[in-house]
Amino acid sequence: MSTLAKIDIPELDTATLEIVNDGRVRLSGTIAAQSPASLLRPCFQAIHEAALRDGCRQLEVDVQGLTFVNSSSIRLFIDWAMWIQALEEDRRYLLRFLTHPDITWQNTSFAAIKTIVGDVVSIEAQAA
Amino acid sequence: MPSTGGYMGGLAGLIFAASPVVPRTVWIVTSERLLMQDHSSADPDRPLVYIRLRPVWTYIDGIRDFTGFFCDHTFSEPKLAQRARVVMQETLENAIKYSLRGPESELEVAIHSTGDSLQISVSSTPDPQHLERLRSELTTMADKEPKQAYLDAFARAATSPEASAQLGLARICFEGEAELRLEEQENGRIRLTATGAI
Repeated sequence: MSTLAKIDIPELDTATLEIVNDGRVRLSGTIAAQSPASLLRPCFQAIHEAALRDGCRQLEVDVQGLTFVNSSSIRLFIDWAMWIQALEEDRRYLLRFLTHPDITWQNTSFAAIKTIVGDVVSIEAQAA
Repeated sequence: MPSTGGYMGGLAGLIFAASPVVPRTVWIVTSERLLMQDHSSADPDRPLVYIRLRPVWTYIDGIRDFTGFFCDHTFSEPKLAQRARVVMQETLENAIKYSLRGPESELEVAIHSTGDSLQISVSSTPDPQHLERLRSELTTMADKEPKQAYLDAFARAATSPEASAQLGLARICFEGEAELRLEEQENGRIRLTATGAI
């Protein structure tokens, strides 16, 4: 079993985070808490470290069902992309965001993240 | 949990905050113009929606989702509800995070429409230090296209991982496709208004 599959996932009030099939993270619901970082940053960090330990070349993050997030939550995705960018090139993996084409915040936010970090992020818009 | 039942069912709806943690009443009043489908009002000063509340984080989700619901059911523009939710979330978060506490700290939220535009405004009494930052941020953003201001805000967040995100105003302008206007009163009260085309 991969390290990724063993990660403890926090329970969120208004959203669900799942590790699916060892290689995909799926987020759904709404994240607009005052301090989403307190629960989600350690979890994102653990997923990131597990992806590195498992030698993943890419990690899918399916956010198609994540209908709304606040700025503090967007910030967590920015941080995640920056952690990868800060690695030496041969340790990096591709963070593939699967987005919903009709959800505006997803289209604008992940495009902006990609503009900043470049090739460590890819965005695939698919209808759920 | 406040009951939100029936807020669109009558001419004027109310939300009663029954929680012992938040003992005051929150009022949501929707205009009878809704039922008359007359969004271009003879009285532009009268809001379509008026909400008065204490600056408590708990209310944000409900008011944001109500705003989306309201826009979805009042106007026939599919993307408007998403834009309005971003605007309401970020203006309200901003007001609640930095509001002074006390009897004068109640927030007033209003939604107006002239038929071809939608205005969402939040009135609050902010901490003076926050007001300085808000003025400065709005001045900086005024010189930029919304998309550029948005990208700059993301770049700033990326390079300052310990600071707060500060993406909210840029989101309002770019994702919400709205222009921001700040009005200040002598008593320290401010009104931040976001106006966007329908």
